[in-house]
Amino acid sequence: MSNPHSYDGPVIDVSRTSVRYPDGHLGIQDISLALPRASICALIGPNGSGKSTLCRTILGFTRPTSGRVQLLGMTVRHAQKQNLVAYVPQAEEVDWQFPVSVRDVVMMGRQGQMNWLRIPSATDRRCVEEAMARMEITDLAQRQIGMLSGGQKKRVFLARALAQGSRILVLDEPFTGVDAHTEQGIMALIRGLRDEGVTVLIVTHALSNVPQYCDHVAMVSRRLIAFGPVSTTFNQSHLTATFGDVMAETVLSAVHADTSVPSWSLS
Amino acid sequence: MSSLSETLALFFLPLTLDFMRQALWMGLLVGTVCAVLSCLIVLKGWSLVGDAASHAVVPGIVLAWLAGIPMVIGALGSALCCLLGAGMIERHCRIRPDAVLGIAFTGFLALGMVLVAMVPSDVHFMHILLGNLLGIEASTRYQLIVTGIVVLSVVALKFSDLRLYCFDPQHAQVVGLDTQRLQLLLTVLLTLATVMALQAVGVVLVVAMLVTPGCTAFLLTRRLAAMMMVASASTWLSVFAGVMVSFHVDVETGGVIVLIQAFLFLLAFLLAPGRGVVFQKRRLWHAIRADRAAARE
Repeated sequence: MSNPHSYDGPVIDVSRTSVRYPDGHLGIQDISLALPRASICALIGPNGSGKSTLCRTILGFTRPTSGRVQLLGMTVRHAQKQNLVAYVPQAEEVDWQFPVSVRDVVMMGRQGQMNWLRIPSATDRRCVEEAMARMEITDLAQRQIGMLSGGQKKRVFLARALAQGSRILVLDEPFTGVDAHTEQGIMALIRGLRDEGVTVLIVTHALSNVPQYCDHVAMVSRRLIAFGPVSTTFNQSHLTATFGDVMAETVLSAVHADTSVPSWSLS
Repeated sequence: MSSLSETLALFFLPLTLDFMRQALWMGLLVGTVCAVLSCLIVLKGWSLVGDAASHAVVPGIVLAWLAGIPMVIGALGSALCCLLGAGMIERHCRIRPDAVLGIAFTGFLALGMVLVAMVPSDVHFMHILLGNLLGIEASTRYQLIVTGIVVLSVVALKFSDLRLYCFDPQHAQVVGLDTQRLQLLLTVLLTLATVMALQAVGVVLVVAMLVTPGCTAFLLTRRLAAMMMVASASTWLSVFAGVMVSFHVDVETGGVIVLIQAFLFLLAFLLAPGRGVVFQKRRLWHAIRADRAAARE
């Protein structure tokens, strides 16, 4: 059970989880979902629906007030200590003026696996160089992170997650503020990781391209509205229950009418 | 020629005096510790926490003196009580963190003032309020040296984790680091730097030692290690000039040090390559002129 490579239960296992904030305000209520190994799941819902809260609970930033979250059969903290989880934050949450270089940030992906003095080993350096090469940012390695374009910034943090080499990857709004080219790049990367056995959870506003790159979808509005494979779950009635009539119509017509506009987004 | 060398000799006279040399060495040590910490504090956005710590140490110092224990320990205890207490209040109500911190540290300072008034008067405590590099007692000096070495060593050993904690605490937690322990560590280091800075510039000006060098260096560098070095260098310059000027002109050493630090910041703000105002204005002007030239063609 403690060996993450031979574990074959659900990789992300949320069972009957509720979060209430200290002032009694409800975050999420009684949500259960189980994500299998090597899958890509979109977590969608309107603003204030609790999808960020669910994401924060899975990452251990918020404690559930009832129920529990298990990652690869372990507690969240235990899984984190074993470096099984990677997180790509929203671009707005990063201090871009911080005096660190691109290589410094990618190396932070290795931080949990280094010795106590945090001196990078040959393996650490190799992982960092490989991740930077894969995200095509090797020639930016010495730049201070504020001197990058929006797409480059995104790729730095994806490279950091890659360098970590985790089994679970959580991305918060990876498609906001990036051009179509970068978006396609991110999708290709995510699919590649899935094929390598990584479980990917994406919190996103961009609904129309969910069927394009996800195999699972979870719709949240305080409670779990629907969860399952995209082919059966991403339909009119579930979208209506989550977002309301008008929105569901718009999304579905966008999906069916024109899949060549992948960056269409609600936000 | 001889008059020039005489002037120089007169200017450097303080360096021939034992107590002045000692003041200078202590100032450089205190300054280095504060400069290194100031980089982390500025990047973390903890300037107000530094201010709070500097005021919250006062009751601890008085109580430590009454109990006959080392001043550093009393100061550390009382500042931690204030900061952790404020953190606890903050988690349980909706008042903004800066306001909670404001209530907590002024409360602690007021307690300190009441204690000073109740304890039989002793000039000793005036040093806390105004600072006095020239009058540090031997026992205090020993405490400062030990504290300074401890703080600098811990920052050197934990550099990478502290940098990650300041830059992206969520990622630090996700890769398995104990962010609560890192927060406590940075708080303790900050408090120790505060206690040291008290000796040099006094309660009121401590926050300058803990903020200004970091800001100056931020404008001039692109890496944290370089930022710490530039911050230290700017502080050494201020301490050296402060000690020399205060000897010749007979003004408060602490005031002169902070004044020079503020002046260095202003210079960096105006002239720093890349981030300085002059540089940015010039770049903007060049760009606009190029646009206009392109539009004419």
